[in-house]
Amino acid sequence: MSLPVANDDAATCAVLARGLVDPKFARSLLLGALPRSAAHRRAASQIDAERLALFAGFITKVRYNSDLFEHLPGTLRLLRYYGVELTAFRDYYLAGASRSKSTHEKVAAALLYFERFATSVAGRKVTGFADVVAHERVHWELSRALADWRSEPAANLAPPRKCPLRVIETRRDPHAVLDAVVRRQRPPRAARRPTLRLYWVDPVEREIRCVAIDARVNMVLEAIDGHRDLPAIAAAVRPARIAPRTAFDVVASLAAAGIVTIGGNRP
Amino acid sequence: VSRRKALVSTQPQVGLAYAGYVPGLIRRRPGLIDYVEIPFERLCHDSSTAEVLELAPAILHCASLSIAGVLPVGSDITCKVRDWARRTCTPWIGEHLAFVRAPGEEGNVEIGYTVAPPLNGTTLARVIGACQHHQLELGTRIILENPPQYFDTPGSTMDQMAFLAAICRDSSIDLLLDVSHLLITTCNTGVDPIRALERLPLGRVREVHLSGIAVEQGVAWDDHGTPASDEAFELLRFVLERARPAAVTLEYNWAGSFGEDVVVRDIERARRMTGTVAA
Repeated sequence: MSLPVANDDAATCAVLARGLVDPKFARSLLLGALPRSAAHRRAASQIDAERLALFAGFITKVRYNSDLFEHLPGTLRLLRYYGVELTAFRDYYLAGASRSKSTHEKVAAALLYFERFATSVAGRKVTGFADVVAHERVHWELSRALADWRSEPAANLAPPRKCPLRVIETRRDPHAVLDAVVRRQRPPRAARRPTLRLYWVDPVEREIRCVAIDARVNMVLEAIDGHRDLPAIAAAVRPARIAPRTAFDVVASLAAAGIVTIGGNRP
Repeated sequence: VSRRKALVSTQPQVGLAYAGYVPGLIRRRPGLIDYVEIPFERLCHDSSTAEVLELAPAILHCASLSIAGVLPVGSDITCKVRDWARRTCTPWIGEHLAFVRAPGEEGNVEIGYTVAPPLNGTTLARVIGACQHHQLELGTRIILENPPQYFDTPGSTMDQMAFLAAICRDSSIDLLLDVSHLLITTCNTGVDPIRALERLPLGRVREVHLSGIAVEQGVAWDDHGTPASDEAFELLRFVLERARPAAVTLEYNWAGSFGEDVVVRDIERARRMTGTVAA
């Protein structure tokens, strides 16, 4: 098959294609640098480099859509609500980070990028973005951890953890941030101090649960290492002025939620 | 495969672009749609997609022939498209007026997405030649889909409507009119969409696509993750009042934030417009 091709058209297609697959080249176009070949230089000088970069971001978004929507729906929803979805994906493309293939690689790379984006000028305009990204990272990590989770044997009197769990700090309740977006209402105000949130996988329902906790609960949680028994846990948190009775109550609450198992040494 | 029906009807049929939820929807609501439009690339990537052929007639959609590109497509791709055209019993292959590969300094560049070409006389001759060549090679009619235009392509001497009209004037190639793409193109080029439609030979529209649109940075973008707008449905109505396309496809096939109720609502809306009743 031999069909007509104008040299200038071939150059235009070549420059557009390279701008869409080669982030370094796209960055050079944005800076006004032109290719060496005369035909390519002519084509490049007529291309809207900003729009081409945004188109590359759009293609990146489409490629990542199904993988990210399953694992980071709130993150994507926030980016869209604040009108910076393509900007974020454009920057992601230009940073050269969009070459991941598997779902795991795509989500892992996107999370790292979104965590950086949260600290950027554009990212800081997205209210609650950092908290929602952190929330969805925990969900993603717990879902993956659940597949390999083996409950620790309760061979001694130490209360073992029964499920994978994580604790993060947020300034806003991620659920409230996303609810506000759905309802098109004002997002919740940032708390003066960060709130600790405990996430765990309900071992019976196999669902991820979340609850705000205070620092004392977190300290007790950290002391539950699968080796300490209850008196040792109480001793470990005593320097933080947590009374043994309080420590025991926390462990009992965690046990009631299915997070730990209390061995024979009940309070 | 023996249970598969060819898509034959004198009335406009209403279908859905393939997505993971579609087989379940067909099982739960038999007769809701008349066919499934399946991307060739999805069939190559995930052979389990072909299981939907047991549930509904199919139209094959393609983004790999690089019809408007300056490089010929490899024979391996042509063979695969031909094979899937035969297996799906597709009445035609919808292909984009676009290119997906281009020459590069170190070999050819695969973009992995359709890009609107320079619109000029040379491209016109090349597109018509490529379509005619592929129709012979594939043994199936090709219809051309208008791409969304996000920026002016250097080397263009005509706009998209003039280019599509010229294709119809100079060849027997019919159109796959994506009304959402048309809205995007007209929005991004500052043209009235009805005026644009009036410049197209609507009698040559064999299939219509509908999907959502997102606007960011002052630019309209394709969005198969949101439902078609009222404006897109009004353009469909405009087309149906003047022409009789054989198929109307809702492209609701990106992971999105709408549920089955919205899909069903819009299928029924399209069906009311086409004047057909569920099979």
